[in-house]
Amino acid sequence: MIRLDNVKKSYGDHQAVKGLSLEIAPNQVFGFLGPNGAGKTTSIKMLTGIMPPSSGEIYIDGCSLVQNPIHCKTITGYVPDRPYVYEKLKAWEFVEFILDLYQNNNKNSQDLAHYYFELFKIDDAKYKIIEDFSHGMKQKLVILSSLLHRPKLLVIDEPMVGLDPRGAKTLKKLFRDLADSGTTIFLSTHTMAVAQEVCDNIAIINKGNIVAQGTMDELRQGQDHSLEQLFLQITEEELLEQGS
Amino acid sequence: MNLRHLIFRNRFRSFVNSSNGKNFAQWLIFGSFLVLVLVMIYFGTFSLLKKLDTLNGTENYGSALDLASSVISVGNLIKERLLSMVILSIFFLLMFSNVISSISHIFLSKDTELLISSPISPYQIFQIRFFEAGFSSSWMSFFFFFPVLLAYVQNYQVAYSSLFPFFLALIPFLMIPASLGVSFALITARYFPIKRSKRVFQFMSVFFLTIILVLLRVLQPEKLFQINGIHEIQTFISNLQIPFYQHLPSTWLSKIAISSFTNQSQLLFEPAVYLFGTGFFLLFLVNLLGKLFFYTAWCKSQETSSQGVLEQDSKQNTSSFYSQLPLHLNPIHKKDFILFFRNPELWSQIFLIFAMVGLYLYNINLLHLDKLSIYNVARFISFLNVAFVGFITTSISMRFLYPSISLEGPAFWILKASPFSMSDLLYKKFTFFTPFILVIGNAMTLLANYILDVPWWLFVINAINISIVCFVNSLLAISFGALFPNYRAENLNKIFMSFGGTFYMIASLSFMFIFLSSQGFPIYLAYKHYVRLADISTYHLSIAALSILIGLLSLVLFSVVPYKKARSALISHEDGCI
Repeated sequence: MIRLDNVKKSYGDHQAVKGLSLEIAPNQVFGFLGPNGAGKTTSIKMLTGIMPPSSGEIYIDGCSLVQNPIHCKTITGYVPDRPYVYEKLKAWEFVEFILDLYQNNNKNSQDLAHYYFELFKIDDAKYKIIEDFSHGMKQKLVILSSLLHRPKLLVIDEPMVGLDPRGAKTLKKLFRDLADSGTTIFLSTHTMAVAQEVCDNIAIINKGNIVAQGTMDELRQGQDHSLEQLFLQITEEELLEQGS
Repeated sequence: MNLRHLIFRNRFRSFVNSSNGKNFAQWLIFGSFLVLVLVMIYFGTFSLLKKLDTLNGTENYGSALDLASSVISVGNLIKERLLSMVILSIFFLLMFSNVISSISHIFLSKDTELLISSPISPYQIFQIRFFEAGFSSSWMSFFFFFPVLLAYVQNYQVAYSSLFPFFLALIPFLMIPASLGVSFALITARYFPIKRSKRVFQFMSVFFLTIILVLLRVLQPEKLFQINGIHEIQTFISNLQIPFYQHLPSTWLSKIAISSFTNQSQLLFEPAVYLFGTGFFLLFLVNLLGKLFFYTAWCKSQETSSQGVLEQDSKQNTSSFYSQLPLHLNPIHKKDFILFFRNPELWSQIFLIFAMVGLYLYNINLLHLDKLSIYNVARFISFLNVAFVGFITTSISMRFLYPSISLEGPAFWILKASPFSMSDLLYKKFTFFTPFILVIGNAMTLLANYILDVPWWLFVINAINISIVCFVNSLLAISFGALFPNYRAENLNKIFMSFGGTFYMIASLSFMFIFLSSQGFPIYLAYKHYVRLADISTYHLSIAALSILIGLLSLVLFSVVPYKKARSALISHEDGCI
């Protein structure tokens, strides 16, 4: 579903992503972990077409993101780490705007939107100005908006920030259901428990490079470690290697 | 280090860090433009004052009018009243801007929450915010007022040290609107939803500015230079006297200024006592209010910004305006339409535009060229009129088109991540306001041409020219807005009063100068050939052709090039907030 070939991103002299290569099969939840400043958000922004890579190729569903960005974006949904939206629109107006942007404003999609409003328990806020929403409500609105065009790929950055326990539980179940029904989910998070619970495959990025990749069992290599212990161990080894 | 120093140091460092991205060339252009504006204000004021001096009459009393002028020193009187009116206008503008600024700094500032949670007394936070609000809303008015003062000093031929009492008096003068504005904001925040109050005041400040502009113009000051009798002087002075109240801080400050300029130090004492007394009394009062109300008002503002308003809305309206808009409209236009009318800061600018248009046509109407029998001058003015109207439409584009990309704000990621090309975005933004600007530009030009009674062929040329000028200026505004976006700006002014805004103005004025002046000679030749039936030499024809070519090249240079650069900038844009 996703293929990244030696993708690099530089800001002046600083190389934020140093030759990222990944291949992600469809219908799975893929966890993308890494410490702060490792290059996660930059990778995500390149994957969603928000910023172009300095070099390398990105393919989504076999289609080159650089050569055909519009098609790639049509089949991708994106939830950023901070839910910035048009504050002066009402929630339903925002949904209609998103449906129009994806040329998908029909009865089925509107019904789906109503369903998600109920699922996330923000049905009462449908006709309220977003400006007055809490962080969690905005996060839910952004998540549901990203699903309305039934994306083949959902890229989601720190999904649990600001969500209440019920919202977080609903979202985790939704990830599983979506993956089972054919959506690939690219999930970036710092919450190890979430990654361990919902991800089929995990990659750990540190200082712009993938330092470990595989299923939970593959990463454990026969040891009985939690993902948190593995993460700390791997990123610490990296630090020591660089120190020596 | 005490708290005030700590916070101001942080502000200063933030300013320096945010300026680091600009290169030397950008600073140089921006600085040069700013200096040019200040110099223009200085010379404009200086020449006006010099002209007013001619109204003081002569020693040879050739007429009753000369005698009257000499006795009452009309020129000096008007100079004093003019200064007083400028300070009065600044005073009222400061009142509004202090309310808005204090709402932003005291209640909506993002770091107030952090400060409140730290071991600092709320009263100390209030004092710092009070100073910040007062400073941020006042410095710009007096920065641009400074050349006016210098012109007065030059005109009165006194030493620059005579400005000292004025600057000393400026401290209590600025404390007055700041104290009143902050007190008003405190009380408003205590009882009303703060974000909505801010919008109301933003609207009122623009509305007030519009009224000031209209009032100043309808006084018809130019009549003074065509005086037909003493009664006209009396009427004008009595008109100026209306806003000249004795007990306003602006009057006290202007009295101090004039007393210094005329070396009448004995007249300084009374207004200085009033000004310092009122200033320090209000400062004491606002500090008392801050001590009593700041924390409760801040807490209340936090409640109303989330819960209160939300509940009110839900009871009143359960419909989507978006779905009521015509189906054939594209989503960007629909969204921008709703956002425009839900933000008074944006739509209230319309008042200012109508005032500018109205005043411009009023000015044209007052020219009375027909009476002067200078028909060709009317033609020349009608051609120049395109440049003036172009300048007005540039200011309109600056307020509406230039900020439109920046107004996407941190939500810009939505468009970047959606199947929507950046060329399309530029096009949609361009088509949202450009028809409006084309209508305004054409209406002003055609009405002015009608008033000036120009022949049909000049009518057509002017209509084509203004359409091209409006089109290119709009394109430039969108392009420069995309090249210099500010997605984090807290208000509209911060978007267009910036490097990018200055560059846009320079580019737009340069385009109009090149494009319109390139047509002067060819039009003159055509007029000579077709109307006066004169022969045109090949040499003159080639110069005309070269001139037209330069005009066409300027079209490409100022439309296609910035547009392409803007598109690339949007595609590769890497602002941290998106």
